[in-house]
Amino acid sequence: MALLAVRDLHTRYAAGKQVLRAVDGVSFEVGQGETVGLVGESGCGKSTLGKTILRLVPSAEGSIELDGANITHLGEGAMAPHRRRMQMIFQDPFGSLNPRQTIRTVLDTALKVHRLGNATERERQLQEIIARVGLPSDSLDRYPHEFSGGQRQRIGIARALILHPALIVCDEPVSALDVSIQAQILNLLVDLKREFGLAYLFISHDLSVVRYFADRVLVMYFGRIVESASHATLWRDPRHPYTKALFAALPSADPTHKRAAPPIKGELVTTQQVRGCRFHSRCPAATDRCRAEEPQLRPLGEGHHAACHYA
Amino acid sequence: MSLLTVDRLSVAFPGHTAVREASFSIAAGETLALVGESGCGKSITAFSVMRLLPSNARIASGRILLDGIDLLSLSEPEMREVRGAKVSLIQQEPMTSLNPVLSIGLQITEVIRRHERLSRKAARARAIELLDLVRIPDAHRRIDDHPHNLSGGMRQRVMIAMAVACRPKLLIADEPTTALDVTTQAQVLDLLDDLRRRLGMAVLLITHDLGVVAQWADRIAVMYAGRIVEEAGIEPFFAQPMHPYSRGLLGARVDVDADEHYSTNRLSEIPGSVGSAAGEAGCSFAPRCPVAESACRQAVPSLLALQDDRAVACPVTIAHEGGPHGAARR
Repeated sequence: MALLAVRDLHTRYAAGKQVLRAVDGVSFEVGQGETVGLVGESGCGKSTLGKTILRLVPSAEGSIELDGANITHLGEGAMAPHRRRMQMIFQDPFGSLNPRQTIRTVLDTALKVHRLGNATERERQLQEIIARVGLPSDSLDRYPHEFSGGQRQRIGIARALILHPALIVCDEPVSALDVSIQAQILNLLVDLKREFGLAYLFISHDLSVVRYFADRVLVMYFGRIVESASHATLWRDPRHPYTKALFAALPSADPTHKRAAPPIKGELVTTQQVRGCRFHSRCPAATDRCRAEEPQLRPLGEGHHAACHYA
Repeated sequence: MSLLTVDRLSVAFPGHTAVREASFSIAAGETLALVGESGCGKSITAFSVMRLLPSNARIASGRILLDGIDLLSLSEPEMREVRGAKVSLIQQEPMTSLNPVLSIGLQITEVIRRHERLSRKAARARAIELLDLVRIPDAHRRIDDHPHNLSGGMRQRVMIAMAVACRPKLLIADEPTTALDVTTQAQVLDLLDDLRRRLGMAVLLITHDLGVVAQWADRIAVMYAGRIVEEAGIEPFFAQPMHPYSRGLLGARVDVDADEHYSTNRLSEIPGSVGSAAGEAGCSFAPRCPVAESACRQAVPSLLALQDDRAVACPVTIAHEGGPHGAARR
């Protein structure tokens, strides 16, 4: 049984008189201890998908199962024990920490809300978690502004980790950090995964980071998964033209390896409904069939799926 | 002669010095990448060239020569003639640099008419040409759009159109694609590179992304804690970065080309953070440096030439490479 099973999930926002289909029929699973990467450009719906799974944004259709239990429509009270099992790490650790709370309050609140342990036990847990994420031992009585960006992200990780979740949704956890700090945080996340058997849903716009960090990768475009594969397969043999374009656009740090001209033009436009394939207006290989008929995600063997008529 | 020469520039804020003795030059038509982490002083260096520093900043020392003109000696009205005409700036977030209540056409013609005597009609025709030049489709219709009608990539193209409207000799691009998606980033940087060639401009490209540097720059200057610690041509730099910080930066980056995965490779880290050296004497990278010696904590290393067109501010590296090349460079 998968730890997390998402089936035909839809999330819609009202945008004036229009309806924005931010997540438009997404299905996937995350296994125990597995890292699934979710990659796509801004506006593709990847963050909304993460928040819908955590029940921070209401879903319109479909189901979310955690440990086999359908949590899609649970009320807040019934949801509470499940919330402990899945936590979130945000992109901007400063924006997601209350500037007027000490780190002790931030972390202790999580334990208190879930009624975990008495004061002595909670204090021991706070000390342990602070040490585990690599923060100085005097951090608990300090405020968020006293920390650097990398340290604040460690606080965000401690807050997610202190409830011993099985799944952590990481929404662009290293995008706001400098390169030298990114590596520290990614290494920490890898260590924690090994130590606690964590599963991650790792959301990022950066294909190179996702490819390093994920066991399996989902590529999202305009509300849908357009390709999914193991990290090695995706890198060796990307099949969807959008995935290929994402790879081709990554600048290589080898100046002798000159990049070809960008294979796709334009940008993701989320305001209009499209007939046929959502990618056809930017696709270098689009045909009349692509303009008329929307391709469904279909298996290509070895767990590789792509939503392209010609994949 | 160089187009731009920045000579021992120091910029101070109350309580701290953002740029310390920074020297570099840019030849006509070349792209120099100024690279470093947030807070290293790279944007403040750019603002100094534009003379657009925040009011609490002060240029403590140094000279900035653009095309033979000493920019720091110009009066504000004189400097207004230079901005846009000889040097212009594009910034990271085009939405906050554009005026949301004016059409893009008005904003572009304002720049043109500020520097050239042109009728409204002629300026509008020029603006349409410029939008064509930056490859905005349907330029004659889009010219009356407001910024919110455009996507992020299109807004950055409008900023570029405004920046090149009066054919400046130097374009400063401060993290021009950091807010853009990767496919859009490639389009915008290709456009900048193409304009550089067609208009004979030099570009000062400020970025934290070494992949962008490798693909779009001719030379690189690496900044750390307000100082330039390494300067080199692109190919020698990426073949063999010299300064321990440059090596650390390249090592910490997830390499697009190598087959790295967390299950088999651990990323190399630079321990600590930029703040580690606060209040200490000597090289500001020393607390994070894997090769630091006790001498590094006493005197600030100066940028010394190691080979032709290659300089590094690290005595350990220079000793290891067999001493400085010729006389001290600066």
